[in-house]
Amino acid sequence: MNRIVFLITFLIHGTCVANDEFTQLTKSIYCPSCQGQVLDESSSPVAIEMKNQIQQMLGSGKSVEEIRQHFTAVYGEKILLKPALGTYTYPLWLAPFLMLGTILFIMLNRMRFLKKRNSVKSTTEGHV
Amino acid sequence: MIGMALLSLSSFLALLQFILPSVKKVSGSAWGPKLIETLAAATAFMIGSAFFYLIYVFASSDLSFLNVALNSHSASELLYKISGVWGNHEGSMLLWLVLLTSISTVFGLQRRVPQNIRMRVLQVLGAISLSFHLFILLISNPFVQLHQTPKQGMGLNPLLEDPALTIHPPILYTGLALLSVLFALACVGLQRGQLDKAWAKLMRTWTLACWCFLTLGIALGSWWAYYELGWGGWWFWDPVENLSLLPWLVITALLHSLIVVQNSSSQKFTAPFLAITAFLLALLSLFLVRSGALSSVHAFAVDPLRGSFLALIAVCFTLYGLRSLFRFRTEKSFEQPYILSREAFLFLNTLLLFSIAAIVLIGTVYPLILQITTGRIISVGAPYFSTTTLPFFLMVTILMAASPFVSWQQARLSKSISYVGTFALAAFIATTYVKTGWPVIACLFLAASFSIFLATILDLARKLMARKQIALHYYAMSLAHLSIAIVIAGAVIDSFDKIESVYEIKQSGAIEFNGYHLTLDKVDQIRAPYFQREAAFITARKGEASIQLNPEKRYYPLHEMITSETDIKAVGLADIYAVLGTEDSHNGWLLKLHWHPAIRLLWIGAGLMVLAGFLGFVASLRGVKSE
Repeated sequence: MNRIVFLITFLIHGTCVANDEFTQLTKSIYCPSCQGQVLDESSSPVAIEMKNQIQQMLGSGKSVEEIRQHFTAVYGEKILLKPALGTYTYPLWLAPFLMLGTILFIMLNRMRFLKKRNSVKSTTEGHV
Repeated sequence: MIGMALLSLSSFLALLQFILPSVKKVSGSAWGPKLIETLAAATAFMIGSAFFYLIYVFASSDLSFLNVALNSHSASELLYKISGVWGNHEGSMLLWLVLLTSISTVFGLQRRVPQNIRMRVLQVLGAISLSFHLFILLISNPFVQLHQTPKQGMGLNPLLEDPALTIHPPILYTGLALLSVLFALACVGLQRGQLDKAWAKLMRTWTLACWCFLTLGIALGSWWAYYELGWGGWWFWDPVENLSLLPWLVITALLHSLIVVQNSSSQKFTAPFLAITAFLLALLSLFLVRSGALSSVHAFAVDPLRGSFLALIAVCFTLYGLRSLFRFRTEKSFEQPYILSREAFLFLNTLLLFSIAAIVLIGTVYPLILQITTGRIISVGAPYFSTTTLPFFLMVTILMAASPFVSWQQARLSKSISYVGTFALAAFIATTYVKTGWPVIACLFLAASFSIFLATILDLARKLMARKQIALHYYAMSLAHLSIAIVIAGAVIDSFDKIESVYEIKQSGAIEFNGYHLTLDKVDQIRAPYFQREAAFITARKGEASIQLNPEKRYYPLHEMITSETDIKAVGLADIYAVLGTEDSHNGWLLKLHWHPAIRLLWIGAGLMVLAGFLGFVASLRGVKSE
């Protein structure tokens, strides 16, 4: 499950996410004092302080995951844009797969797959 | 007093509009339907008068009204005094009722709809209008008076003092009122077992009108977020944005599924199901936003009673919708469509759009549910929504590119599909080659956008060359698909090619940004009536061309709020976007600059979408007349 989510995330965000650790962090953490604004976009005092902190921590050789955990410990999980994968978020991450499965199931059940030569009179042109 | 009297009177009329169609003596008589129509018009007139009275009270800054005192300031411009009427919870609910009753009146005037159906639809609309009348009278009264008149009003939330936000609520509420008509039409159609071609045709007209307003409302909201928030983005997957997207997705699916009902009389359950779902989603959104469950600029002051009442309304109409849906009886089994037929494509499109709506809904309400059940607080932000919905959107674009080449009922693919397929592959390879930094999905989307463009043009050209008459609605459909291709191209290019930088700029100092040489001429302090402004004067030069940029910062002492007024100047399809930051200790100013290479495509595309919807609407009206 983890791998699948990672693979899809990689396909969608690809290299744009991975280019540098600082932006990767500031784009995945909310500014705690501003409504719905990402750290990267915010210039509030708290956000600037946090960005400085991130720079320091990266300088002292901490990993992206460690820094993320540090801020989660301070401000709570709600600071992360993307909720972590755990039993409590399984429904969230499984939802798209469930929808895809339902679509496949309905399409396979409701549609015909064999061509029928003597089909009904064409109405394509009539529609146009 | 006047306001309350008008409100009570119109509530009584709404009650009659709801009850009388169930009275045999009225509904059976020749004058019954006429009476109900008159009642609908009278309700609209009464509630309209109450609304104009509220506008008058706001425009004349009558501070003896609590609502005026809280949301208006006598020094602000007349436009914002008036838009203050719907810049708050109570007034916006009144506006929604005005639009609902007006649209009910218009529906009552439609002579082409059979009289008894018209009456039943007006009854359902009467129920909706009555429940919101009660909501306003009991817990959202905009006419509460103060014992002591304050000296000055609190003023409108500065973020809402904006032209786009002046028209954004009326447009969205019109969309919502039209959703109510679709809901009523679907319920009545189900109950009477009349989901025939005539029903689909009527639904189509109203669905197109609704689609136009929802599209325009979302586009305006997005445009506002782009220039007002100063974050440089236009879509943040913020809970309220998400909720506004839900009915739009479902209505788009409905539009396509109605084509199937009109052409092959199959999939009859899908269309009413979608219409009912769209309205219920809108009610759910209203509940989530106005109860304060989701915090946003739309939430206004929070009151638990409000939430409970709105929840009650939502539950009542959900039960009614479900009851209507259970009335559906499958008619004689029809032949299953072939997987590569147009019906199948349209059906798959419906399923995909519906799934996107479901995922967005789950992502938006999941944190709330988790918090209530386990107390754990998490956020679900943009990365979740883009990761989960973009693959579905991509499938929709592929269907769009292929759709002109499949036929109704038949298992026949046009040969041109292979040209488009080859082109799509070539476009994809070319994009990955040119845009090396882009992720795979961005290249796929850009290729899909080009392919939709090519497919639609090819299809029109083929029909014109064969000297076939092309109906107006076909042009509308083609234009809608072309404009979506334009929106996709704009969105993809902007998301992955935009440049953002923060600079420190000093008085008469200079910086280099994306080939531009920028100088800060001065920063002026200006006192406006009830806020203070700091306006920067910046000149950006590139070769011969020079652009003036005047980003501002405003401080509103009343709200203790700082807003930034961005300055955005167009350069062809691109935007140069400047946000003024704070002054630092050594006389420099922080300046945030963005380069949005193709953002204008997004707005042009959105405008064309609305135009296409309008053309389709006109075509559907014409089609009715000619029959």
